[in-house]
Amino acid sequence: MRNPADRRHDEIDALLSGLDRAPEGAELAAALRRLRGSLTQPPADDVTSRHIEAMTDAAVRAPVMGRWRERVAGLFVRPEPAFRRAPRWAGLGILSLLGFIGGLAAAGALPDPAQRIVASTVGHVGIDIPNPSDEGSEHGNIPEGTDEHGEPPVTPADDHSGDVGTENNEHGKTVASVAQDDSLEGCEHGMAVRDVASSKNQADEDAVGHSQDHDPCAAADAESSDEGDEAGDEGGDDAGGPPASTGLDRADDVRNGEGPGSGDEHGQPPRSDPDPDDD
Amino acid sequence: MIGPDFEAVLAAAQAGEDWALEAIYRDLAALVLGFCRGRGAADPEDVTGEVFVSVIRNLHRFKGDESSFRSWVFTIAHRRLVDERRWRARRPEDTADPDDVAAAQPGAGDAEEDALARLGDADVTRLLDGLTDDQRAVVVLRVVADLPVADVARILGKRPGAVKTLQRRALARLARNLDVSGRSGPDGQSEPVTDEGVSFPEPPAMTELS
Repeated sequence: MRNPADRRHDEIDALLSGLDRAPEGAELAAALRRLRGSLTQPPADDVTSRHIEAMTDAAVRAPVMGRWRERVAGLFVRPEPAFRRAPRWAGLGILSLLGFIGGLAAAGALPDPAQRIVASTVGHVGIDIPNPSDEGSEHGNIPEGTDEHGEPPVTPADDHSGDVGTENNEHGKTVASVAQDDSLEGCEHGMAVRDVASSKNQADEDAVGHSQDHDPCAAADAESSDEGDEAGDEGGDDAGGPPASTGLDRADDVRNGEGPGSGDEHGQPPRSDPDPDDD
Repeated sequence: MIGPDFEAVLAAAQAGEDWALEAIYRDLAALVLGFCRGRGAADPEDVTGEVFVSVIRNLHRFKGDESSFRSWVFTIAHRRLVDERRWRARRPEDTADPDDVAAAQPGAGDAEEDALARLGDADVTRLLDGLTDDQRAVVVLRVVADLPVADVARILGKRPGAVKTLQRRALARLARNLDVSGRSGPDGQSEPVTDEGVSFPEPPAMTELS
């Protein structure tokens, strides 16, 4: 007889099913068929009746018993061990903490170092939250009370340090005191105010140079003495307006707190106001 | 096999219809009883009755086709046998002799034929004695219950490859046992084991394994 261990799987299936009719497996297949026939003899009639009766009783009780079994089983369901719940609770706690910190960071309520760290971290992923560093450059150096006096928003050009702001205030006061000085009149008063107002920066120096080239007082003297067309031809455009009044107007602007400006804005007559006499 | 009507029979059985319960029993009782006999149950008929009662109690949970149902029934039978063995292990005096198990099977009615059948059945049953318990379980499930390897593996809680190995070794062992026992008949004369010569009912038609 051929060793079954050498057979292929399909040959073993055929052998087990009793279908192997090959000579080398016929004897074993016949034995297996006999084994099957021997073991599967049906139960006796009385045994069959008894079994079916028991099945019928079980079928009658099954729905009720099934419900009771489910209820009882529900009573004795063991709670999940704590070591299995712990990771879930820990994860939930971490998520809650992150959410809380994120909310505080979005509101800018974290301490500055923490706020800075969170802002820089989430900034990498495109989330914009307040950063104390940025806030310092935007709000930290605005002179106090600016908003209360209705001033326009501070522009980068106006953004000075605290020392510069104090210096500007002093400068404004000086210019205002000169403008209020009654010892000078007319063109000289305006020139004095202009000189004081424009003595601060390089732009002002340029303006001073420009004004020295075109002295409005000299033009006004020449005009008032009526000495001919020569003086009018030389300074007509520059001396088009009354110098004294122009200087006072600018001094008033300075006194009103406009602050330092260019030379053209402080004491210079309007250049776009041509003298009708030139025509 | 119940066949195309299985769904209707199953639904009726789940509704508690007597005719459906009886149809299921008559379809599977002989196979379950054979499985219990082949596995060496002390009282196969009692175990068979408990298996079917358990099937009915849990029938409302079952969903699937007929092959799945058969596999499920033999899963219950396997667990019942395991329980029965544990119970028997605690009461070793109840251990039954395989000859007694074979002798308890009903004969055809005629005393002479019964005697022949008992002798033949006892001889055939002894073929299984040389197998290990796992090999025996695989052979009985494959031969008696006619279940595929995958279902046998699921019932026994093993991998299909392990089941194939077990059945290969079991057949080799059966072939060796057959060489020994088949050559010496009850009267001491050497005779091959064939389908003829011993009276027992025609086995149910076996389906082609996939």
